[in-house]
Amino acid sequence: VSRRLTWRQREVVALLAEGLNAPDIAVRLHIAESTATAHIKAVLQRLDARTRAHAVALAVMSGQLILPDQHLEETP
Amino acid sequence: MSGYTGAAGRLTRRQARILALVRDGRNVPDIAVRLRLSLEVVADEVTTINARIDARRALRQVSRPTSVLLSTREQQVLEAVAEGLTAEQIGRRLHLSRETVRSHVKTLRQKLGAADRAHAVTLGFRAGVLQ
Repeated sequence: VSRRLTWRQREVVALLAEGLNAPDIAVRLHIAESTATAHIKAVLQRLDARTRAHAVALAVMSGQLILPDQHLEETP
Repeated sequence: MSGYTGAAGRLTRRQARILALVRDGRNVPDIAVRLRLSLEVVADEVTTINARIDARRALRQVSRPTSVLLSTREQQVLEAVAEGLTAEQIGRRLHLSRETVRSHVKTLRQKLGAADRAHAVTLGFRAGVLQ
């Protein structure tokens, strides 16, 4: 099972990481709320995550979501 | 940009804009949306910027939260939240009631300035509480 997220799924997980919920994400991405919910569900499944918070952690740890500070820690 | 003009001279115009936004406290997704670039491009540019200048000091100053001091319990709870555990599961692990766990989650969210638990995980990583 591939744990790689699609480009759209990466966008969604980046927004989850910012504390946005499904209605917020729908507005931000100009999509229906049900579509946003479907994307979130797909992200959780792809990452094998139990919760949205878990999905964010897994995306960061697998390098699919890069946060400025966390990125800098890896710089020698 | 004071103090970085020499180093910034070696950056492309796009890299300089990205650096300015990062120093302004914006994260990669935000910058991607703002500059209409993909997350990958912005992430690559951040890597290049890091390689070219000693941006570490500059960035840390701006993007690190000022006073994030979680208690040991709050840290343990945040780690468990990042593992996808429910309040009940966290309670069993740490020998706390579900309500106490919820109270810790609420406090740590407030301390980190997080909108929800997923956001708390993000801020935990950025603050170096999570790795």
